[in-house]
Amino acid sequence: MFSGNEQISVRQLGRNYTILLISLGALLVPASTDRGSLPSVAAALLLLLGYLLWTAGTPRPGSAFLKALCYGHYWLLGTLAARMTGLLIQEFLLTGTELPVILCWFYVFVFYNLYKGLECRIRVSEILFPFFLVLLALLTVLMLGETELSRCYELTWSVDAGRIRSGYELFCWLAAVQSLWHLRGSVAEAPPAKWRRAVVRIWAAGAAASLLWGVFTYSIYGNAGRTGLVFPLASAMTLAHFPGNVIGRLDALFVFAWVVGLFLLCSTLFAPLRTGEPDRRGKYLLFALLAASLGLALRDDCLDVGLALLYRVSTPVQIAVLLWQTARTGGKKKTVPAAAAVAILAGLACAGCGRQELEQASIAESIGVDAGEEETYLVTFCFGGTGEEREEPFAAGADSLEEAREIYREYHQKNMDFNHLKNFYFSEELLRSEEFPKLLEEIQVDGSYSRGISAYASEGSAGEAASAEDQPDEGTPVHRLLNAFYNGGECRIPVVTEDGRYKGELLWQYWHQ
Amino acid sequence: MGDIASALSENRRWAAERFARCGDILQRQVFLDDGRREGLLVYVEAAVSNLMLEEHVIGLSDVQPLSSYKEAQEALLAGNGILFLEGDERAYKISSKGYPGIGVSKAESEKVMRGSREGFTESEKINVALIRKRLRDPRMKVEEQTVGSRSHTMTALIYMEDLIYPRLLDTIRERMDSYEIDGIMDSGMLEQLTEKHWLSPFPQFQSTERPDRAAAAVLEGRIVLAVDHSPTVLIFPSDYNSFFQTCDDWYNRFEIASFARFLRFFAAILAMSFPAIYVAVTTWHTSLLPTNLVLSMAEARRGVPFPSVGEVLLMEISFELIREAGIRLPGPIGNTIGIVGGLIIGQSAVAANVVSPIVVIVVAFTALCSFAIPNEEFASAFRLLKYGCIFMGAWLGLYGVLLSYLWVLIHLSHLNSFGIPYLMPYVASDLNGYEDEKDSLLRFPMRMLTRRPVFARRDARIKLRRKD
Repeated sequence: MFSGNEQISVRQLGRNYTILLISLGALLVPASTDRGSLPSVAAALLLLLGYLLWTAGTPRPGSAFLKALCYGHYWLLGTLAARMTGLLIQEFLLTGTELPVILCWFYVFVFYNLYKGLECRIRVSEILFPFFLVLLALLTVLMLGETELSRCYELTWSVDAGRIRSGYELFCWLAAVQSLWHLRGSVAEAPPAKWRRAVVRIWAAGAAASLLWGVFTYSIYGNAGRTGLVFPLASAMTLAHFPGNVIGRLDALFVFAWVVGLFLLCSTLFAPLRTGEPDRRGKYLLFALLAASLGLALRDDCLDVGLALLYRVSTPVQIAVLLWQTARTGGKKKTVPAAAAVAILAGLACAGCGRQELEQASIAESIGVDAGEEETYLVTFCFGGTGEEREEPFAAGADSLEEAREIYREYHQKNMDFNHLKNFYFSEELLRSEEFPKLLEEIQVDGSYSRGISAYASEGSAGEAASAEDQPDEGTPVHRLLNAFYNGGECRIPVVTEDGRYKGELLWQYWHQ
Repeated sequence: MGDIASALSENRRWAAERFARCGDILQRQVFLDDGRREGLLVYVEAAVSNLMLEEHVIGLSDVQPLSSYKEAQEALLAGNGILFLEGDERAYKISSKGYPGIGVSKAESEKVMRGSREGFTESEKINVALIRKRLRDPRMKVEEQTVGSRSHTMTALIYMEDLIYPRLLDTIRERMDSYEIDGIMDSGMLEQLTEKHWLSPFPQFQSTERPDRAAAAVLEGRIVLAVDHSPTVLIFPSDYNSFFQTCDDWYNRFEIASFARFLRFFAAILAMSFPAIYVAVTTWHTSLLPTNLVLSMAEARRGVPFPSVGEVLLMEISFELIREAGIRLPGPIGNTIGIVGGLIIGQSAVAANVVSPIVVIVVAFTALCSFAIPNEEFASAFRLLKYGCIFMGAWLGLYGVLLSYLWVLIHLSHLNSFGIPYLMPYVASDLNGYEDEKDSLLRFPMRMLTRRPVFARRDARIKLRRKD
């Protein structure tokens, strides 16, 4: 009666593409943020604005050939975004689960969303929009305590070829929003002026969010954001805490919200450039295209190959299409068959689950690291428990924390859970040794360690300090130590004396090592 | 409407036009004075009994003369009989006991703190009269039709002529005529036959046992379908929002009503996913829990032979069994089984180390949430989906729960009830100028609810305006 499953409103469109830009911005901009990245981000956003306004004033392509060219571009972008989403989920939600399992499920649901047609897809994003925004805003507010806005004065404005190139690369990603172009005919009551306003509003929301993510991440990490972190914003979310310690680490919750946005992004990018529900043939074709995309996303070299194609081939082709459409003043439309489909069946019977029952996990509460003799470190893991059930500390000599964990697993046939790790104890000898930076690098890139874990310097044995029954609740977050290391700064670490008292602070400076 | 005509044919024509397609309003030819004087009786069927008519027509006692059609219409719709006589410029109101009252029945499944206690009965005629009692307007039409080649069950479509989309009426007629069935025993059978998305667990007809709810729906431009022998009438079109509304939402103050609605929405989400979230968090994302809680939960699980997902499923199925047994047993025993069974089984299971105490809390809380959803059929959909969520949560943690949410959301986004998007007004609320949002998750103050929802015809959406 009302729902023809083909007409959508400007508001629905606005919500869909705003989520798209915010999610993409959160994924990409923080990863490229360093002291001099401001020109790159600004260039990307200005290019995007110009590009969107250009598409708003140009008739959308009607020929099947041009549509196929455009769809190929979105397909490539969607594949890259899906791969990154899979990696994000694997690192922050489902550690230990195989990427194929995660991606297969992701694609199944993207297909289901697309199978139901444009109107349904847009409604899904319309309804998720407020939840997505509220969750992101809440979690961002919870992290505000960790930001140092004074760092923003460190940002510099120097334009060189490298910066322009990285700006262009960022633009190539953000230009995913170009698919708006093809939906113009599906929007009810959208005169050109209203359409342009809607496009500018979408850009403004996305640009504001992208800039905010950039500044926000920089004010947390400083120049250290790019060092080894694939998802800086998600790593930073380990610092967020609800008042009263009602919820432990919040990064899982944040990623949960983010995946919603990335799901909608991929659904939008893989969507056929037509209105209504796809017909039977269209559904088979869509299935084949998604299966092919899954095949590509599962390849280890997906990002390398895909990014090269995106920057050098696909985006320039899109600009050429836009130029062609602008230059064209009518004429007979050519009908060229759409791109051929490759059918790759998605097998869902993939094995590999990383879940574990509570009683099977050893919940580590503190780790003490001393300088080793033959091995580099002497690592002591101390566990939480109630009363007599508390597990004995475990000490092992190893070249890395990962190796020490592996040794524990071999002895006990159990996994260690670091989600409730509260304290790191480093012996003063280790803090002054040349081996300490290697340890910091490991802590930086290993997603198991929250950046909110407290760090202490131990006058005596760090292992003994970590084994003490009463553990302090507040200390210097290891995040500050990492920032001092990567930004060449200094950091004060509370000291535990040999007789177990918390007394005084030690000034740790990396460049003095 | 002018004065009553002396010619009976004129009065007959007036009644026929005025109450066209009002199946509950009958006309009956009578003869007085040994058949020498012709008369016409017009009356609401269920409000005026045949016996009473006989008595009054014979004696013509307790009558009141009426001079205008307006008076006659009002008296008729108030539940009285109206007698027109050939050659008489007056009509006569024959008083009756009026509409069926509270003695009829009480609504058992939709209790309210404030508002009418009346419920529908198993007679279609009385059910129509219960709605007519609340909407004394000749524009409220009642179309009767029999369904079932052997049962010949009477059904009635009740609607406000000037508020509904005519195509809606055509659609339901088409769907009702598209099947030939030997018997219809309850409105539920008709509901399943006329639903478009019949594989969906979500109902696309709203069912109610309350005449005031049905009357309010008629005023919203929706159609009520009453089936003989069924105390439950069907309302369509329906959307997700309407399943969360209760009658007293509009009878109570807006702050309280909004709070209650918010609770119901929240309860619906938890009824579907709380056990799944528990399983996901305890087996995948222990980081979300405070350390002390994790440690005590791990301690509580020591000795439990089942994995978390097994514990949850065991308790959930036990709870469903208790519920099912409680429904089938006679009233007081059923209630006792529900409470005692839950307590005893829960406590015994914990004592025997079959499940951990936290699982009993999770399952009990989930059950409470499912009971907070006002519509039983709608709540059942969430209860069923809960099991899918549990499996996904156990397999893929919060990612699995998220995928479950997405499945439900995509399904609901695609669903529509007679062309109305099911998720109105949370999606596509521009169809009614965002007015429906005022009566959704939050209920705005009554003074601001000036327009009917999207179900009503576009040119008849104003329902409240201030008198100048």
